[in-house]
Formats: sequence, structure tokens, C-alpha cells
Amino acid sequence: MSEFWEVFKIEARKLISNKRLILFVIASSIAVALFLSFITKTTISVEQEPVRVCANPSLSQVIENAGGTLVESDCEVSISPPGEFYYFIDIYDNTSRISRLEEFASNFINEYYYSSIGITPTTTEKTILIIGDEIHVIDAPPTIVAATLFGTITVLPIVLFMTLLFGNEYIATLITSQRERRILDILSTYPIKRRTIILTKISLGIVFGLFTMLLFIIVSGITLVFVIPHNVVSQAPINIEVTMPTWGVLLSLLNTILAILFTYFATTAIAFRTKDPSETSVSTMIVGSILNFSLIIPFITGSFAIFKYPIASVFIPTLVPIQTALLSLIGNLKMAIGFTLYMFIVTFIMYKVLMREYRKSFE
Amino acid sequence: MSKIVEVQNLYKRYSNGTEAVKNVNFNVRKGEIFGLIGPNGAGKSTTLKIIATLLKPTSGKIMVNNIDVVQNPLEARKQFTYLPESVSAPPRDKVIDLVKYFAELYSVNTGKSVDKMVERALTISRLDEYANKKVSELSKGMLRRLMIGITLMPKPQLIILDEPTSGVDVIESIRIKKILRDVANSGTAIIFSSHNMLEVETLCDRVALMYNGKILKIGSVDEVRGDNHNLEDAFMKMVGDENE
Repeated sequence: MSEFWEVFKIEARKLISNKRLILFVIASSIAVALFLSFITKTTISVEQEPVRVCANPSLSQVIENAGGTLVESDCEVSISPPGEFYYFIDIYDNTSRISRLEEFASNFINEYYYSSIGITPTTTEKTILIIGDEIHVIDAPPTIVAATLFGTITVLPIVLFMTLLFGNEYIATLITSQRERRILDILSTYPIKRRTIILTKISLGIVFGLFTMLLFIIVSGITLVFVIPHNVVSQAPINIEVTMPTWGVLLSLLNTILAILFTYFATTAIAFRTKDPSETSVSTMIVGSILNFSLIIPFITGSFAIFKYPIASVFIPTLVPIQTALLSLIGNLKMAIGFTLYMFIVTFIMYKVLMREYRKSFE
Repeated sequence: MSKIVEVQNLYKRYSNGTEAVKNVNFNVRKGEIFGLIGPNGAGKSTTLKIIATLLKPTSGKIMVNNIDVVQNPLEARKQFTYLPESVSAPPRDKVIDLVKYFAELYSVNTGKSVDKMVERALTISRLDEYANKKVSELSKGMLRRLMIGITLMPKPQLIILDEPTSGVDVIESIRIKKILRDVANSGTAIIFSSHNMLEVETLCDRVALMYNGKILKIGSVDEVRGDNHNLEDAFMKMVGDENE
């Protein structure tokens, strides 16, 4: 630990001495936060009371409880877990016209996801949130519902995402430049553990990202309070009384940390293969897509229940606490733990991939 | 003289199937300048990278100061420093900051004085007056000298240099060779690679001629040169024999 801390301090001093980078981050944070604050306009309306109360709602019951408002484009309804996975289900001819994947998706929704979490009809911009036996139909997209549930401002998910990109870009630039200049070769022959060299850089990137996030939040807050107090409208804030259990909070935090680590590991691993740091962001998305696709295959064959979890959200870290928190809201500890285990496994695998790429970079 | 490096039956095959090093054996003594010479692709850099613990050998044994570099890489790294070929530095960094960065990292597990190492690097590279200048203000040769100074600053038992004079002009090359000779005279062993066989003749105590992953001949410059006019002629003759 002392080795890690000593190396971290040295790397941090080097980062702080880069005044151009620090100025760029501060300036861009202010610019982006101002821009986002000005364009943000939130309108949320919600039915204050549950539409109907029913225990263990089935797919048809929930659609029925949505009052038919879900059916807006011909005979199709778009249903997905919040923010990801788009399933198209024909509600008039549910079995004959859907493909194998869609059929499985339908079963998945019914059996695993729909019975425990709210569904998001993305085309209608409504969120169905199930809390215990209550079904809430909310006239807002899931990110806003989730953000409101957590008492955060609307732009926070975007801020967090931007934060991640800033930290990732820093790491990608640092690794590619040190590798191209062969500085990393020299450092790797110093009497310091290889994992310390890499993990301190990644940790510094995360701290750098958190610093950016803090700046974003501060500037956004100042802008919202003093600059444009009338522009952001919260006409009818969601007023659902929810109490998140402690394990829900802890698992949400844990999954957020794991998702951030996963993304940083992936970016750094790619940085060992590319000469252009900007390629790493795109490559991270490609890796995410490939991993998603590869995990959908056992999902289609239906071999392992764990693959049926909302894996796509792993690649959008802002959704991870939302997913886990929603699971905790409805008291599904088993599924929340399963999701956390999945996160542990993919993060560990990505760490191994990163260290392999690091070793291969010397060849 | 006691041995500082012992390489026994070294073999390296890359994951793509390329056999870069084939059954290489040699040793380097304390205070000796040992040159690995040969054309590009001969296996010189791979050999140096394996000794420097950057790559793992497919088979074979490498001891540095009686420490097995594969079994105990962290301890082995305390015995040597390594300078790769065509190394560069961030142009906006100040020279002093760059040297300090390396010195601080080296001191983490060795406890060596950062100030002394920084002073030594600047003195060896004769760039004291450039300490507060930016790296971009240094010529290519000066930067190479600076990086050699950084490599020498911890006073290791062994220094591993991959093509240290590559791409620098004659004057800088002579300066670098003088630095290396001074260091060797103080008891530090130096192992370096070069494809410039003529410059090796004037610097090395012993050389190993490498070609196609194998050592063709090893010994003092005179022994390897034999009856030939210079090392280049000797090499061409041996390669001809090898290909026949």
C-alpha cells in the first residue's frame, strides 16, 4: 500500500504540474456545465396515486394498467429495461410473428425482469415503475425518474458520463504517450510492481474524473441558482415515497465503482494497442458492443439465468446504480447480488486483459 | 573478474511464432562493456528486453548479480537500469522535472536520494545549464545524453542500453561513448546493442556477433575480428558461411 501511495503521489504531482491540462479541464467544465444548464428544461408530471394495485403483475396486467397509452405506433409497443435493450412485442399477435429472440425477450421480461422491475416504454416517453404491489405510470423517461428518485438534478447522469470521458481520455493520452515515447518501458524496469505502475495511473484518472465531476456540479449548481433560476422547470416532481434499504445503497455504490473500474480498465487496455488516444473511446464502445453481443448468445439459448440480467447497463455506468437501486426498491436482493457478482466477474476479466495487453506492449 | 550477467540457453519465441532468440549463451563481467552487435532483426533487442525483465524467455536462465530475473524480477531490477532504443520525452516538460520524475519513482523501493540522483543525471549528461529549459529546446543528441544520464543516475551494477548512439551525430556519439567508458571504469558493467559495428570496435571490451537469433561468435574485439580488416568484414564473412 505504501508503494502504491508513494507512486500515486509522484504521478499526481506530475499531473498537477501540467498547468495547461488543468486550465483546459476547468475551462471546459465551466463551458459544458453552463451549456447544459441553459439547455436543460425538465418537465415531469406523475400520477400521484398508483393506477392500480395488483400483486405480481404479469405483462398483460401491466400494459392494461398503463391504460392503453403505451400503444401509440400502430400495434407495436416498445418495451425495455430502463435505458437499454429494446424489445418489440406485437401485442395483437404475440406468438406467431415474433422471432426467436423476441420470443425469448418476451419470456425474459415476463419471468425475470417484468415481474420485479418497472418497464420503460421508450417510444412513449413513459416509465412504468413497480414498487411492491403498486404500479406507477410516470410521464417521463426512466433517467429522469431515476434521477428524481435519487433526489439528484436532471443533468447529473450526463455530468457523470462526461466525467467518465474526461478521466478516460486522460488515461488514454497518458498511456499512449508514455508507451510511444518508451517511457513506460523504462518505468517497467524500475523496482516497482507492474500493477502499481498501471493502477496508480488509473486511480489518478478516476480522481481526475471526480475532480471534473465536482467542478461540473459546482458550476451547474451556481448556474441553476443564480443565472437561470426560471428556466429549469420541475412542474410536478415525482412524489413517490420510497425507502431504499441500506443494502440497496451499498450495492448501488459498489456497482458504480465496478462499472467505472471496468470502463477504465477497458480504455487503458485499448490504449496499449493504439497510437491515437481518441480511438480508445470508440474502441471502448466497440468492446462493450461485442461483449453485449457475446452475452446475448447464451441469453438466446437460455442456458444461464445470470446472462439474463441487464448487462447492457454495464457500459453506461450512470445506469448501474439506477438498475441496482430499482432492484433494491422492490426488495429483490437475490437479483441485485447476481448483478453485482456479474459486475465483479467482468471487471476482473477486464483487469486480466489489461495486464496482458501491458505485457504484450513490450514485444 | 566476477560475472554480473549470466545468460544460459536463452530461447524466445513470440506468440506469432517468430523465433527471435535461439540458444543464446554469454556472460558479462563487472566493469566490462559488452556489445551485442548485428543487423536489424538479429535478436539483440529481444535479448536485452529479456535481461531487463520486460519479456519472459520461452526457456533458458538469466542471472543478474546472482538473482534470477524470471524468478525474482523485482529484486533483479534493483541491480540494473535499462534504456530502450529511440526513447523520447514530453516536449513541454522541463528538463529538471523530467529527471526528478524518474528519480522519485526509482527511489520508491530503493530509498536512494532523489536530489543526489538528479544532480548526478545532470552532471553525467552535462546538461546542468539546461535544467530549467524545456525538453523541446534540446537537440536530439542532447536528449539522448539526458536519457543516458537518467539511466546512469542510480549507480546500478549493470546498465542495459539498446542502440544508445542510434540517430545522433558523430560529436554526440563520441560524447556518449566517453560517458560510457568513464562509467565502466568506475566498475559498472554495460551491455549494449548496436548495428554500427565500427563504433563498437572502439568502445567494447568484448562483443557477441548476432544473426538470425543466434550468436555467431563471441570474444574480445580482436578475437572476433580475426584476420579481417574490421568487424563488418568479419560479420559478412560469417554470415556468408552461415548462409552457405
